[in-house]
Amino acid sequence: MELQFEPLSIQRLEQAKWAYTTRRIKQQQPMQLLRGSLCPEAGDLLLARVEELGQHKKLELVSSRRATLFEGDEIVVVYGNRYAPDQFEGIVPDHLGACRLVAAGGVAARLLNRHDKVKSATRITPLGLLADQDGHRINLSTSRLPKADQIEPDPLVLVVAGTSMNSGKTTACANLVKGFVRQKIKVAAAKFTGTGAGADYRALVDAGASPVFDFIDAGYVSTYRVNRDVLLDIVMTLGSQMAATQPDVIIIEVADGLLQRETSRLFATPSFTNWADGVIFAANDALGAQAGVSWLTARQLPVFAITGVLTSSPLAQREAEDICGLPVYHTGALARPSVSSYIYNCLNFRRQNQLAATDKRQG
Amino acid sequence: MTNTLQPGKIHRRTIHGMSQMNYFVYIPETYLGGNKIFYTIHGISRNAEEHIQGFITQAERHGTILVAPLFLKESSPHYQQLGTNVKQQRADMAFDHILQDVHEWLDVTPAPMRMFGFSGGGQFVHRYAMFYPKRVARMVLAAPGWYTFPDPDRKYPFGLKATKAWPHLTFSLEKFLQIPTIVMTGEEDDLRDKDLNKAREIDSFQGLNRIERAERWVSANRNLARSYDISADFRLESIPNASHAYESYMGHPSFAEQIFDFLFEDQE
Repeated sequence: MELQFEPLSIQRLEQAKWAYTTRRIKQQQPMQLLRGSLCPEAGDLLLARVEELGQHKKLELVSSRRATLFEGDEIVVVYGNRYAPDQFEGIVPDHLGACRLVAAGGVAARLLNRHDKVKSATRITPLGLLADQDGHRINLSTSRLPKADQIEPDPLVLVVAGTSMNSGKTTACANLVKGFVRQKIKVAAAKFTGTGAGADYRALVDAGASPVFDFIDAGYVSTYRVNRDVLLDIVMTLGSQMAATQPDVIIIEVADGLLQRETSRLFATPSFTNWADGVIFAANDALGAQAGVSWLTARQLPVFAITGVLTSSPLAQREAEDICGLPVYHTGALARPSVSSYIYNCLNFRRQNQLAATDKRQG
Repeated sequence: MTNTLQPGKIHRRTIHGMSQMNYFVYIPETYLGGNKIFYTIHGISRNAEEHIQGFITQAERHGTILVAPLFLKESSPHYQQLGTNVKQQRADMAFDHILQDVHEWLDVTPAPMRMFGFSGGGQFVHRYAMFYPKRVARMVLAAPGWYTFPDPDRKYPFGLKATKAWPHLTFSLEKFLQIPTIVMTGEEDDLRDKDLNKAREIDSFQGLNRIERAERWVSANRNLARSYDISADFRLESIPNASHAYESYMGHPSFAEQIFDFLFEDQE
């Protein structure tokens, strides 16, 4: 089938529900609907119709508000790969046929796998790709932040990683931001990997970080199945943007668990690991904490504390302290200045030690 | 200074400030100067003079001055926690007056100190070191009943968090963690005796007896040191056959010598 262009009225575009993942795209521009024998690419925007509600009955809008979906709604979402052990695995399809909404932030994909405990993914019918006035596909990469090749080194850099999704990373990040902000410490924050999700982004904004970025700002709807160059691009793009605002601390969330392929690759990216002053590890239980801390220390990564879901249990917390040999901070306590001041001091102390060691090596 | 004091004899010194303070001092006949001073802090039995008597052999062997403050129940009822609150009955400030007097009377430089504390004295020593880490070179804590953990989310004196009674607390943990420390516990000091603080906050977090509490405190400091990337020296040692009685620790043949060896190992 040949390519077909169909003009889109402003009214139709306004009535559609625009997902969080489209937040960098200017909605008030002339657009067309592109149809035919097309092979979508990750980051392409599509207009789709909701056919049958499944797991996701709400869609996160650009504002991060979770809007209720109805069958027949028209939505603007983004093609992308999805990796979520608690929900779905999905990939960008090679055609414009029926597919699924695999993330509430607005990701369309061909469903590969589903967790036993979630419902089937909401079914959607793509009506076409969005194209600009000249007929070019609208892709997240067309409105991304500029690439960068260096990062201003002054701000302290704190990375939060975890055992898996839902181990408490985002809550830890938001609480860390709040704890620092309460001490008048200026914080920038970003999520470097994962799938576009407004709640994660908004949690950092609500806690007081400024600026806040995620990989969408670097032009990627998700990081599942991206190569090393893309990960480096995200590090450099978002890192340079944050550092340029001269915060005291940069907080970075790394999605999913350490065993997830792209997370693992990110931790093997020297531009990222050499930049980090400290890593806080979020775990669901003590055994997971032990495995994560061992994984990180085996790679000489500066893990210096544990937090996460396990801290709801004082006994699990004690087990983790004993087996990991690191302090364990209750996730909620990270927002308290009494705790965040020590975390800041610890990061700063480690940075000064590193600088002193570098000076010594260089004579 | 030292030549006005008779060596080889225990002296009791009383100084007058906001309240009367007492301490015992012993100058060994072998003292050759060099600011070698051993500070020993008594437990709840307030047996400061007995502490001096117990370490005379080591004082003579190592040429070390002994200083033992006496915290009276009337003026320093909560000396283990450094005071009742930030304003009242501050044992650390009383101790500082004693240090000043030691400095002037004996013509020695009192800090950084080599400190030993038994039971409540061990509590005093580690808290003093947390408040003033630059003043403490090394410390040995024997049988403290409970501890201030290096935990910023627990209120002082359980942790480091400021309270109404203890406002505006700040600690330099990176300095405290660099103080070489031994915690000694009696092999049989695992009883919940009448002197042990059994408050739920302590039982639940620190453990049910002095051995568990010592293990957890040492671990917490080691953990935090790793967090700061500091090569800390926190050791835990068990004293065979010792219960909680002071005599049962001192009765162990190598106990006193072990303390001196550790506290002065970098000076000898």
